[in-house]
Amino acid sequence: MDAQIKKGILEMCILHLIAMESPYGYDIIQKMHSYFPEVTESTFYAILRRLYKEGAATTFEGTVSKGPARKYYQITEQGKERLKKLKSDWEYLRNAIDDMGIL
Amino acid sequence: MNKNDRRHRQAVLSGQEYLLHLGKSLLFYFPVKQVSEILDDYQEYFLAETEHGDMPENAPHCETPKDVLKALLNENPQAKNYFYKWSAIWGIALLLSVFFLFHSGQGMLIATVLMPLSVFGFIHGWSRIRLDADFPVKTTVSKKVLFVQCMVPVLVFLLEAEMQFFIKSAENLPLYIGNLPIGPFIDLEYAFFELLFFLLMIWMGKRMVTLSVQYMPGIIHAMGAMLFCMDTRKCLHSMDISFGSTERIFMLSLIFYGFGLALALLFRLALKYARIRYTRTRQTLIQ
Repeated sequence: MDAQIKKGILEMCILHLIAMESPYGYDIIQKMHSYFPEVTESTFYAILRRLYKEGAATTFEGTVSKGPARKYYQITEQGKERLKKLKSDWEYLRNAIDDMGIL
Repeated sequence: MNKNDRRHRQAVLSGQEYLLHLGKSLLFYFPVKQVSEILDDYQEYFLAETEHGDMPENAPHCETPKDVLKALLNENPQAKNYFYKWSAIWGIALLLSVFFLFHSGQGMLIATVLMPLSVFGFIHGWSRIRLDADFPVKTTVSKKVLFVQCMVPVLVFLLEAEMQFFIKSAENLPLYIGNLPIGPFIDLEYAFFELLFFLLMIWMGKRMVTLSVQYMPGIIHAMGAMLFCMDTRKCLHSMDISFGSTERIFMLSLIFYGFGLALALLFRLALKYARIRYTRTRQTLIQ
């Protein structure tokens, strides 16, 4: 898959996962792995760090019983806007491809 | 400790080693704060894998540190500039120290300080202290290395005693030892020890890069001993030993060693306190 296309898709998927619930890093990686097995965890973590750095996601620390502190991710207003934009871009692309009868 | 505990501990330690190796390679490209964040993510990942029972026995279920670095550099191409900038700065400092090394007197003293500092800077030593404290794997100097270190002053003082003896009994010395005239014989002996201390420096350097910055004082110590041999040889070249000499000239070489030793001890103290300062409060894999 082309790196640029993949980057956009992965970002949208991760933002969607964060928007649906507030998962911790490992959960996100596991879920993403089940859909994109060829993508490595370093790529997912890099996207998560970038989303955090750009203000699309925020983090908070939580613990499970007797377990170590975990970093949970939460979507921000800016992240919601970005997800909306990514979804509409994807919708537009999909319609264009459907209309052209490529797939 | 039963067999399962031991296996678990091995797996846990290999996770720590993985983080340490990853951290060391990342430090060349990213600031320590960013490296810490990346390692925290991986640490959490390994802990979660252990909890879920997905952790294999001998290695963390993950890409190799090299692959991770490659992926991160693809994601952040500007990180290469960070590498070039710091490599250039410390590289120039290292070249300067080599230049000073071949200048007798004060030049050699400047080299004694500048060389270890530039090597330390080149490997991002201060950040490595923090990393060593955060992910403690083999951060103490082994007994074997300590024994070799203890042998260095013994050798230096034996060499110095030998030289003092030669000076005092210059008139009674034989002209030849075997087929070799006494002058070149002593020169060869010092060249041998110079090489020995140089190899010791390289050995410690390798340990510092691959294991821990705690080996840094050992490098300075070995360098002091090497400078002692270098300076003594210079003295020998500039005089005819058979006519005797003043003890003061050779004592100057001993000052080089003493300076190196004092610097090494200072470094040892600084590293000890720096490690205490950076000891991590967040839970580590070893716990």
